[in-house]
Amino acid sequence: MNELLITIAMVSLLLMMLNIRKNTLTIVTKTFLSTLLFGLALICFMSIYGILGGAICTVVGAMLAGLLTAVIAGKAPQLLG
Amino acid sequence: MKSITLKKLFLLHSWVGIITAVLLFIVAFSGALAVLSRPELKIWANPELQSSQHVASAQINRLVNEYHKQVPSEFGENIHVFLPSGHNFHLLTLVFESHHGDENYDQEVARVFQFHPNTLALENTYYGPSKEFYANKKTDAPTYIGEFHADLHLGRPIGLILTGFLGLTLLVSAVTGLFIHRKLIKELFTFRRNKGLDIAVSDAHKVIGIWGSVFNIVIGFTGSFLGLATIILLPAAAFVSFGGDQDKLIETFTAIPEPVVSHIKQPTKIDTILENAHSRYPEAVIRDVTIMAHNDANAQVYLRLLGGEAVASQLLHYRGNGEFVQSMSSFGDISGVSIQVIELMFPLHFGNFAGVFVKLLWVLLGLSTALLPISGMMMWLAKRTRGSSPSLSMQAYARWNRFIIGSCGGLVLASFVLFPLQVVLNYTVIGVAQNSFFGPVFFYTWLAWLLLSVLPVGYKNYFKLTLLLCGASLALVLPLNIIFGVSNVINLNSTFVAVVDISFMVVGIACIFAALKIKNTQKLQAEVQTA
Repeated sequence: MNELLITIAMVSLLLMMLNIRKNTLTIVTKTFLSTLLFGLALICFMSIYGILGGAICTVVGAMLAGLLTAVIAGKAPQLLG
Repeated sequence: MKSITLKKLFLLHSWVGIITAVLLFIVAFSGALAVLSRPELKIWANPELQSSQHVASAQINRLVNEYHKQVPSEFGENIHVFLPSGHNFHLLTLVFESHHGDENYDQEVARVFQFHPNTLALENTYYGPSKEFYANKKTDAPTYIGEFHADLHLGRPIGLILTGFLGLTLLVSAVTGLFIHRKLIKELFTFRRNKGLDIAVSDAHKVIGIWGSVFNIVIGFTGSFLGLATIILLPAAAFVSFGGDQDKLIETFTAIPEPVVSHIKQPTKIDTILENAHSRYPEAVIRDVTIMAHNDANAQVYLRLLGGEAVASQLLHYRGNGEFVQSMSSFGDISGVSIQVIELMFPLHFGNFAGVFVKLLWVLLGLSTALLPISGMMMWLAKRTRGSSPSLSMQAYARWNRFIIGSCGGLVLASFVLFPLQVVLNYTVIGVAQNSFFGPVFFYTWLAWLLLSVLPVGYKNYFKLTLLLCGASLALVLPLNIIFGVSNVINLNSTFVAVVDISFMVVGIACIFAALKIKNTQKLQAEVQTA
């Protein structure tokens, strides 16, 4: 069960990063989706590691997800106009 | 922010980075490995722990009672039980201590009995000063790397001051870096790996710096606290609040006070207490148990727990009759926000408050922290070779690169060599005698690799060879364990060992693959000439 929750949390954080990276979405959509995905990851981690441990894991997980997205995917292609 | 202030911050960021780059890499890389040293790699390194990390509570109770009868009464004042969890000793260890010495010693003295965690056979005994017992306990490759991270094996206080100071420099670099890179949001995902080495290194430095900033600030702050606390902060606090009396300060913050012995006999229910702690905190690991006034009506029992839902480590207090008193921090029952913050420093630095997943996060971000000073130094050097009047010749540039590979790559190689060495030592050398091998192998390998950088070899070939040897060292662990190990991937005596061996093999093959992808300097020159 814990493994499944960890996977869901990390996938959510990676999706959140890809969502932030995407430049075809409006700021409102980005903010809404990012909050949703971050919240999901937070809930998953908190149910495993408790409130404080879960919050720390979410922040650290987000940092790693951001780093991996940057190194693997790089900057999103810039759209003209 | 004014451009002149930014310029000053940039200068501070550059020079702090350049001066401490190699040392910062050493501490960050060894720290990333040290995250997994206890208990994961310690269990892998010790066949006794591989067989079992759990001893039944009733057996612990039986052993404590049986061996308490065999030691003089003064040794029953203070009994420590170190459980074979992979955090302390590789054996179940009972330490009977007399704080006031005995007929042979004027200092704190101990009688120690160590048992195999699985068979509970008596493996080792010790009688002598407590300090000597703890100082000469058996070490292994992961513990050696962990201790190297703490004080660089320079001894205390010098080593601790140095690592604490490096924590401060990491903190300064991380904070100044955030200020000087003003296009933070714009550069969040900018990593151009196909635009040449210089641009890729520059992008990597910025991306790692931005994404790892919070982690680096936390690690820098907690690292400097852990390094400098006992050396500078403790005397300073004693000076301010206790008139310079450090003993008084330690006494105030000691969670385990001496009990008043009633001399009324009453069995201490160690098994009941252990079972109670397990049921209260099923996810936590009991690291050690301290029993004061064993089998006395006033007996007190303290259990040190790690993990579970509590981020910081806990100290559980029980009375000898099994009654639960309270759960408190390792500093005792002291209230206040500052104590809670200090408590959090340890798990935030070590990443040991939850399971292996959290530790892997710490390892990966720790490795990215190690790459920061190296990429920064490469940027600094490359900048000085460019332009119409470069301040650094290509020869000097190559020399600097060889020095970085020799010192930093040499450390990586020396660390990785310890793992196959551990497998061979487990087969050929018994117990504490293993301790004498790790230091020479580690430092001579590092020194040899550093000395090689003096030779005028192409730095790309030198890097390639370093990577190849690092990969070969790790890939060697699995076959060596099949030949010499008690548990391996063939017999699957321990699934944990098999997983660790396979992980070593995967990382080793990845290093070899990366090395083979690097083009030779000669080939590169030939390609440039052809073009």
